[in-house]
Amino acid sequence: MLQAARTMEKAGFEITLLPVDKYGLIDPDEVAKNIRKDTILVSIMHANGEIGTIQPIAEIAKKIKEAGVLFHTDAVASTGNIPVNLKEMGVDALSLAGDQFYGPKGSGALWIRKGLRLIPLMDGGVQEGGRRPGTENVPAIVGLGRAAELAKSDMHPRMRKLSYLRDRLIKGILTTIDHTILTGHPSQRLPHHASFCIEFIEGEAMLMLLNSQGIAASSGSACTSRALKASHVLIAMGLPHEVAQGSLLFAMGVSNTEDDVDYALEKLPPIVNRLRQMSPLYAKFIKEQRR
Amino acid sequence: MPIYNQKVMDHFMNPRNVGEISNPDGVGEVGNPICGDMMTFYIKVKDNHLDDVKFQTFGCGAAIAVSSMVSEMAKGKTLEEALTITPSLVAKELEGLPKNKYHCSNLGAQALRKAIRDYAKKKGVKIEGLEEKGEEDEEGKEN
Repeated sequence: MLQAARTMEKAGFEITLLPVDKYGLIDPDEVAKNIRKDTILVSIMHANGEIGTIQPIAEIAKKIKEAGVLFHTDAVASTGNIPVNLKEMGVDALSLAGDQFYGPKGSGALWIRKGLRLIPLMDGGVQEGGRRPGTENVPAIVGLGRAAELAKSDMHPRMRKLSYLRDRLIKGILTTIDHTILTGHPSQRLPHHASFCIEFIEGEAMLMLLNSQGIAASSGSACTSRALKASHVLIAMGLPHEVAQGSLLFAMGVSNTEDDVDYALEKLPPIVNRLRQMSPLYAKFIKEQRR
Repeated sequence: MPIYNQKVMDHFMNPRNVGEISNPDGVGEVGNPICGDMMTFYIKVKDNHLDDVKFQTFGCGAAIAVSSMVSEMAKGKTLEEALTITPSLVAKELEGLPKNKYHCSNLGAQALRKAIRDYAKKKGVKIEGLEEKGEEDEEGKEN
């Protein structure tokens, strides 16, 4: 959405970017305060894929409704992983993607409230109610629907299992590796999501060494991004650039087990230690006992 | 994650000359945390030769591989020879670096050069190849 908002800005619209707290949470009162007479749309992510934090969408929606403004939420990271109830959330539009819950890659959906009319992004045929031209990708649509059904059918046991694994991983990493920060909210977060900043080292190097041990993880470090810029999410949460560079995230899935978590907990500390032994920042910290 | 070639992977997985030299004859630091890579090179000089070269690097796989390669290329060379090591020579020895890593991570030669300059300054000696045009500007940018 950030990029879409920037495009609107170029077209002459004014945008207001709201701050987040250290957990990446938006304050609903802050949303209400920033709504102006000419505000036409508010968009807030349901859950963030980089830090796992889940926003209080229903609470924010109430504030927005009072002002009579349209509310969109990007629920790509959350749909299929936690309950997404349109009625309870009270949004006017919601986007989701199938690849987040084992659906076909490239499939996605935009749900909009009845009566809401959109200008199509592309011009052409009248498919999808005139909102998006081009022959529908039927296999992707069917696959997305089936994946959603399956995700819903075992959502609660899956959430219980994954949040247990997540908490085991978080606790293990925070107790075995010093100078490590959990990024995102400690409890108000996606059940399968554990994200950290490991100080004094860089994310890509960690990923490469983890990969050599058969562990797949990801990072929001500048070096892992194509733009070679640190994650704007971590910077918005107030983390310094060198700390954001040590971003490391694990997103678990249905096939992960307790053994997988324990394996990662066994392999990660020596990897961190190895990179810290190479790091001029760590050497400086040890010498001076300060950052 | 970028795809690195075998040579880069070898220098990343088994980096040569990692560490710090106690009482070094020269130290060179480059980089900043915003772009993501920081390197410190330490040198020990004996009879105008680089008797020992060690490095510490905070950065991605390419940055670590580059540092390792530079240390290997420099060790045993005369100071003048070491100054002929350029980022493109390092990339060539590594049999190529991904395009977007070429500039940001390829700071090793610069760090080595800074360590040699530090040595020259401390000893008050002139080294051929050190005082090139534009070099002072480059250092000005660093500080």
